[in-house]
Amino acid sequence: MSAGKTSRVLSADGLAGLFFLGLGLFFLINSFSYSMGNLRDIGPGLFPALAGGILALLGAAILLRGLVAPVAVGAVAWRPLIGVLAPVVLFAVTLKTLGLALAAGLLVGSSLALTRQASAGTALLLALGLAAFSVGIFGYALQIPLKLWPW
Amino acid sequence: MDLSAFAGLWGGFAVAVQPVNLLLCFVGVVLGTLVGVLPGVGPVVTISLLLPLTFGLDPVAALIMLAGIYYGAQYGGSTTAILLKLPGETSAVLTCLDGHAMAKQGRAASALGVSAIGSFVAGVFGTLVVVALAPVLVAAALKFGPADYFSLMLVGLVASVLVAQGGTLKAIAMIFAGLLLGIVGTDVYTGIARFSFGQPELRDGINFVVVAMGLFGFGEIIANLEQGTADGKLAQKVKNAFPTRQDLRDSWKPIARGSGIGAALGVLPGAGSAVGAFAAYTLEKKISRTPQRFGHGAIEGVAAPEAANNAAAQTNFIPLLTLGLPSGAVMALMAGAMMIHGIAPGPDVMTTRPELFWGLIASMLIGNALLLFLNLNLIRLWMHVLRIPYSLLFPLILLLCSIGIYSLNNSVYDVGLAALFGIVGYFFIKTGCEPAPLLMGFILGPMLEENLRRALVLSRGDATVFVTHPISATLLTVAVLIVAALAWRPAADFLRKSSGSAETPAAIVSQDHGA
Repeated sequence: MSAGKTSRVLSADGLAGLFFLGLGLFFLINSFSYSMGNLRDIGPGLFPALAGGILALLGAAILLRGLVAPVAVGAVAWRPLIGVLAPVVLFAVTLKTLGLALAAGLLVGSSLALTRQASAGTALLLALGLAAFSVGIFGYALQIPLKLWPW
Repeated sequence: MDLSAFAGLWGGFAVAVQPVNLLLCFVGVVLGTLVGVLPGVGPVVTISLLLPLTFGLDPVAALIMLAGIYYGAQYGGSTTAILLKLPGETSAVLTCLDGHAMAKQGRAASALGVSAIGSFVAGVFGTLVVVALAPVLVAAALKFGPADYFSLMLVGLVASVLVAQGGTLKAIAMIFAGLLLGIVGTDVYTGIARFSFGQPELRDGINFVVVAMGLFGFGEIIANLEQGTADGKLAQKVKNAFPTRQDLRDSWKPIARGSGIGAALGVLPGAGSAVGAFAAYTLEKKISRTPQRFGHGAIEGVAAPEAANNAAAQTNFIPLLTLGLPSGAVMALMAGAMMIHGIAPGPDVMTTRPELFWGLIASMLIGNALLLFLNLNLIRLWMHVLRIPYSLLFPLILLLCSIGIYSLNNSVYDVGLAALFGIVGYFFIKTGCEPAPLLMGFILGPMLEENLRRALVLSRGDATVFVTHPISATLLTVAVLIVAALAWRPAADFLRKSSGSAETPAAIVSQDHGA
């Protein structure tokens, strides 16, 4: 792996270390808003404070290792990342208002469009097909309590 | 041996062969295989995905179906590993190596058949181990106090570090991240909602399935699209999965050894099923007269890890059903599923719900027999699934995941939260952090804290209780020994590397990803 030009903080260990350090500190700091109690009667704050503190230390150690011996992180594949997660969020937002049929169609269509995995025609067909499939299976066959249609 | 266990098993068959339960077992194994065959969909995602289907059922039927889904996913994953070289989970990585090499040589039918038969033999053996051991361990479990539980969970967590790939330090950090995420929600002692930040959806905590789907499901789909490797290029088209006589002659011993190793290692909490598979593969390679064939289509390299994997898949139930401790991500999911159906996994299940306990175990035998039949004969059906291009398959997986998450609690909030965990999952893939230890920590976090607090309340604040109670002290010693082994590993790796043969699980995996 190329150690020469790799950014030290933005290396695999550097980023992972920062993440754990941040998460640990977040829980550590917030745990002080709860009672710590004592050994006889441990409060709700003690365990998260301990675990958060240890996680922050581990994060710092991993960050340090990243600074000393950085390993490059591969480039972020934005298209798959957005193309997979944005449709899921879209589904979550539209499900209760537009109903399963449209939300499912939108999820399938937008995921194919955003990731550019299929032509417009294929995407439309698959969106229609899977929308019908999910309404049939989950709405009518399994009777999952869901709004199915926009009306 | 305790013969009452076999009487119990007999009673369990009476439950399992009821037409409804038999049908659900069948539906479970078929759906589990069907979803498990999908590239990039491992057992964790398969179970998460199909879990909502069991909601309307009574607990016995639901568990029988879930167990069927679980074995089905294991079998289905092997098919994908052999034909497409896409492991759905860690333990299938080894099946990829030699199984896919065999398929490329035109011996896919042998690889698939030996894998199915090996899994069946091992599954039956593993189940019999459960029958023999579970009652003994349940009796022992009743002597467990909170301090002992706490120490046992420590052993489990430490062991899951041992299994994890991508660095010990990161694996430990992942456990702590999981512990912290796991305690989000209402504190059982005080009723205070911790770390929920006024969000009513977080008062009940983060749903386990949401984390699993986000980290394993969504993260994996993104990675598959990025690599563009998941497109249905079958190594070989086969009509059936019947191995030849010679195949069976070559593989019955590895199957027997794999079953034994897998069953033994599967009992350990925290070990999951991957350790057994790695150990079995390593053993076969060591004792083989022609170790150079391994990785190039050695049938022993398929038979042994597949058998070990499936034996462990059964004996993994032992810590869950006797102590209430999940031994890995999949068992944590089963524990979560049991709780959804109002059953707290633990030593009480066998005595208070014998029909459920023994019914489940009897259905394991039936489910494995069904799977053997399905996989030897229906391989053509699974091949049709595998031939669908991933570019058309991933929207379906995405849709099923989203509907599955929503239907857990009828909550669109959960779907959004899973998308957030998807980003985190992709981040973990990019930075080389394995998500399995996080899931272990997530499920054990609340139990660990509860038992720590209860142990200290009972001992009136005397922290030495963990080393003065004999069971707890023994378990802590085990944990310390594993930690010592972990500390030793970097040194051992260094020595091995300098002698030129890296044969650690991590090396096998990186080898596989490189190809």
